[in-house]
Amino acid sequence: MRWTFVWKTVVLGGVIITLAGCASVKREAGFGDVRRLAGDRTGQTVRWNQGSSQDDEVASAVRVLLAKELTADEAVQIALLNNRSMQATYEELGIAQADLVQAGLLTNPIFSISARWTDGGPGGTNLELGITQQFVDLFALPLRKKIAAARFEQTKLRVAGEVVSVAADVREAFYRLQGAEQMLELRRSVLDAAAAGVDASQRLRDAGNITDLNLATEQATLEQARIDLSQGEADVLEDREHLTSLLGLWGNDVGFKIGQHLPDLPATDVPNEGLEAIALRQRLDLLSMQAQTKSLAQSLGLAKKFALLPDVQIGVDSEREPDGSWMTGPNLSVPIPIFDAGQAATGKARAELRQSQHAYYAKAVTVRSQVRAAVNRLSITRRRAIQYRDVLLPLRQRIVDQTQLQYNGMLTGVFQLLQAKRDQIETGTQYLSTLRDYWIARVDLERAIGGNFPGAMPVTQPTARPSDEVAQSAEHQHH
Amino acid sequence: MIPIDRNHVSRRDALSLAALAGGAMLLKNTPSRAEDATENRKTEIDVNKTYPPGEPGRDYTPVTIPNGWALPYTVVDGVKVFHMVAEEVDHEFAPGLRAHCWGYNGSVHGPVIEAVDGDRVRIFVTNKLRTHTTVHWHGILLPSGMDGVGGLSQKTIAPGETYVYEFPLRQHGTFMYHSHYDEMTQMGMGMTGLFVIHPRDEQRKRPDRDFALLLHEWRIDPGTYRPNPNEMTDFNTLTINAKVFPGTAPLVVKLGDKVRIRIGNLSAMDHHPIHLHGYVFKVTETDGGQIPEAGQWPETTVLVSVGSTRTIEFVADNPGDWAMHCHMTHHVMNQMGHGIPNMIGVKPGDLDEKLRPLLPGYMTMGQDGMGDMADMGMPTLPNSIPMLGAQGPFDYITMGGMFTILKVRENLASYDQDPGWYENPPGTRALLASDEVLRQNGIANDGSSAPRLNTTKVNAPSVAATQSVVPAREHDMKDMNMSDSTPQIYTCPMHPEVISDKPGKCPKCGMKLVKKN
Repeated sequence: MRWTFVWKTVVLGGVIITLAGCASVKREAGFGDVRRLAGDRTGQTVRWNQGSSQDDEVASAVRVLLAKELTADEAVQIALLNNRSMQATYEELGIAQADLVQAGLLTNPIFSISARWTDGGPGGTNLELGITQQFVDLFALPLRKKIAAARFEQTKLRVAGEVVSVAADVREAFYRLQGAEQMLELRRSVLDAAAAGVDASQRLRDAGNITDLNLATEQATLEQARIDLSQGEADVLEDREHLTSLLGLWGNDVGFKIGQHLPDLPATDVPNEGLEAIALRQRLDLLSMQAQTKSLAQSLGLAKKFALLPDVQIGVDSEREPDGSWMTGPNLSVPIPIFDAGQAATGKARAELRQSQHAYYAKAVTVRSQVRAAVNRLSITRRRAIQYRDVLLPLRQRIVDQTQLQYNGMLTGVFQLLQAKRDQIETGTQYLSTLRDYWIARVDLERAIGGNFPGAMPVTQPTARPSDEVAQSAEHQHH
Repeated sequence: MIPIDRNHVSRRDALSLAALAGGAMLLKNTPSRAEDATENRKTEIDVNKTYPPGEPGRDYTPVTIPNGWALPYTVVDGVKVFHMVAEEVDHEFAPGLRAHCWGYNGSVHGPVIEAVDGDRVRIFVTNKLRTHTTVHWHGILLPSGMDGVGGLSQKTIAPGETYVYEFPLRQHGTFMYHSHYDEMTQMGMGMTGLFVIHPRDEQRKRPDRDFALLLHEWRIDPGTYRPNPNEMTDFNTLTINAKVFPGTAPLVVKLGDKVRIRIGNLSAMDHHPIHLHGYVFKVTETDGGQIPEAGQWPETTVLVSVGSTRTIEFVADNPGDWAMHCHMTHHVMNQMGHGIPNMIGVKPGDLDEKLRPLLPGYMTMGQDGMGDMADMGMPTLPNSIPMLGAQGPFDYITMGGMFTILKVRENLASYDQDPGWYENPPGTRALLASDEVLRQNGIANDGSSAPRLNTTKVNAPSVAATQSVVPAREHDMKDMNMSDSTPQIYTCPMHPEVISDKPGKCPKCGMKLVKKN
C-alpha cells in the first residue's frame, strides 16, 4: 500500500516531465532569420559554419572569389563567409537559443532521502523520503518563455546588425584602400614626371648648359618627393592590412587583388526623400532596442504577476517511523510576503522598462540626425567631386595642351611643361580623394539608414512577432 | 699781325699779303661758322614768298611706301588740306598674326604725309579714340602752338573732337609724326607715321626709286590679340612699315637705278642698325636735313636711333635678291620666348620616350639651334607666326621680324609687281662641292684637310664633381676618379695661345711643347 504513494509520486513526476517536454537545443537556431534580415539589408548571403561538409563549399566559394580582382560586393561576401569573429558572433544565437530552451524547462523536482538511527534506543531506522517541485514554474513558464523568446529575437536582431555593420566596415575599408592605391599610382606618375625633369636637367648639365647648383636643387626636390611618396606607400599598406583582417585572410591569401579603379560617381544621386522614415523602420539596432523593450515589458508582467508568490513548492514526503510504519503526505512551502512583497523587484522592472523606452526614443532622435548629417555630407562630397571632374580637370588638361603649344613655339621650356603636367596629376589625385570620400560617405549613409538604399534591394521587416516565433519553434520541438 | 716794313715791301711780304687777301676773299664767299650750322637746314625757298602747292610728278616723285600708302590731299585756297582720323585699327603684321592696334585712317602705321618745301599745310585731326590725343610733327619747323605736345603746345584733342593744325613748310627731308599724349601707350599701340617733304626745284637729280620705311617694335605675346604697350625691354615683334617678314613687301628696283631709302625709327626703346647686303651706300640725310656730299658717310649698316631718320642712297649696280634687315639678331625673329632653357648640345637620349606617356606631343627641341624649328609643322598657338620666316627659292629662310628684300633686276616688267626670285647666272651660286672639284683642290669632304688650331675640349669642369651620391644615375663612388677628369695640356713657351692635348711641336715656331700646369 505504501508503494502506491511512491508510484503516485513517480507518475506525478512523469506527468510533470511530459508537460515540460523534451526540449532540446537545435543547431542553426534562428539563423534563418538572421540570414533574411542581413540579406535584405546588404544583398549578401551569410553562412554559419557548423563543422559540416557545407563548410568546404564555403571555403571553395571564397577561393573562387579570391582568384580575381575583387569588387566591393565580393569583398563583403568574403568577409561574411570567412571572418571568424563573425562566426563567433553567430554562436550567440546558440547561446540565446539555449536560453530560450532553458526558459521552457521546468525546474527539476528534488528528491530527498534521509535515514536516522537511534543511538541505543528501541526501534529500527527512521527513513524520510520526499519529492518537492517548484509549483509556480508551471504558471510562470509561458511568460518566461515569452520573455526568453523576446530576448532571442533581440539577439537575432543584434547579430544581424553585426553582420550589416561588418558589411559596411568592409565596404568602407575597401573603398579606402581602392582610393589610396589609385592615388598612389597617380603620385608615382607625378614622381616620374619630376624624375624626367631631373633627367632633363642632368642632360643640360652634361652639355654644360646649367650650373651644378641648378642641378643639385632639382635633384634635392626629386629625392624629397621620393621620400614623401614612400610615406604614402606605408599608409596604403596599413589600409590594406585593415581590409585583410576584416576579410579574415592570412598566409598566401594576403596578396588578394582589388579592382583598380574606384567606381565612377553614379549618374543621379540617391533620393533624399523619406530616408529618416526608412532608417527608423530598418535599422537593426533600433529594432533590437524595440525587442528589448518588449522583453522588459514582459519581465515587468512576470514580476507583477508573481511578485507575491515568486516561489511555491509542493511535494510529497514519506517517513518511516522507527516502529516501521510509513507516514506519507503532501507538503507545501510558501514564502510569506511580509517583508518583501516583490515591490522592489517590480519597481526595478518598471524602471528598466521606462529606461529602455527613453533609450529607444533617444536613439531614434540620434538616428534621424545621423541620417540627415550623412545625407548632407554625401551631397556636398558629390558636388565637390563633380566640380573636380567637370570643371577643374578639363581646365588642367587645357592648361597642359596650351603649354604644349607654347612649348612647340619655343616660348616656354620643358620644365614648365612638366610642371603643368604635375599640376594636372595633382588635381587628379584630389579628384580621386574626393571620389573616395563620396563612396565612403555613401557607406556612412547606408549605415545611418541601416541597410542598402531602397530600390537597390527590397528590404523586408522582421514581421514575425516573438510569440509566434516561439509557438513555431515549440511545434518543431515535438518532432 | 704780320710785321710790314712800311718802307720796304719784300717779296716775302707781298706773298703773305696776297695770301691774306686771297684767304679773306675765300672766307668772304664761305659763310661764317654760325651760318654753317644753318646751311644744312637751309631751305631753298624764300620764307616770305607764298608758293603754289607742289604737285606729284611735276614737282616731286612720290615716295614708294612698301605695305603702306600716302595720304591724299585737297587744295583749298592754295593750302594743302589733309584729314587724319585717329582710331582703333585691326592690323595684320603678317599672314597669321593680327592684332587690335591704334592708328590713323584705317591703317597702322598712319599714311605717309607727302608735301613740298614751301607748301602750306592744313591738317585736320579727328579723334575717334576713347581717350585724348594729339599729333606732334617730329623734326618740322613750325610755330610753338602747332607742335602737338599735349598740354604744352595745345589742349589735347578730346574723343570725338577735330582739331586743325596749320603751318607753312620751310624745309625738306624725311620727318615723322606721332601722338604726343600718353606716348608710351599711344605710340606703343601704333600711332606713328612718316612725313616726307620734298625739296622745291630739286637741284640734285631725283632718284629713280625713293622708298619710305618706318621702323617700330611691339610686344605681342603669341595667342594674344593686342600689343602690350607697357613693355619696356622685351619686344618680340619688330616691324618695317608695321610688317614682319614674311609680311614685308620687297623693295623692287631696276639694275642701274639711283635708289634712295628713307628710314625713320619710332621704336619705344631700341635703335636699329639697318644692314643692306650687296652694296655700299652713303648716308645722305638725317632728319635735320641734307648732309653735304663731302660729309656723307659711307656704310653698309646705318644706325637709325630712336626718334631719328636716316636716308641712304646708292646706285643699284649689283643685280640679285639682297637682304635688308636690322642686324640685331633678336630683331630678325618673330615672337620668340626668352625664358626657355638653353638646349644647345643637349643629348636627349631616352628622355622623349620617358616623357611621351605623360606628354604625348612632346619632342626635345633646340639641341642644334632654332633653324630646324621653322618648318617642323608642330601645332602651336593661334594668332602667332613661326619664329623664323618663310620658304625661299632654295630652302627655308630662317629670318623674321625687321627683315625685307631689295630685289634688283635687269629686266623688270613693272615696279609694282614682285619680280619673283632672282635667277642666279651659272657659276654665281654656292653649290655642293662635287667630288671632282674637291679632288682638284685637294679638299677632303670630312674637313680633315683643313688647317686647325689644336684646343682641348671645354668640359663642364670636373664632371666627377657633379655626380651626386643620390643614385639617380647609379654611379658608384669608385667611378669618381678625380685625377682622370682633368687632362694634361701642353703649350708652347713662346706662343701661349697654342694648346694641345698631347706633346709635340708648336705649329707656329717649331719649339717643343711643354706641360701647362
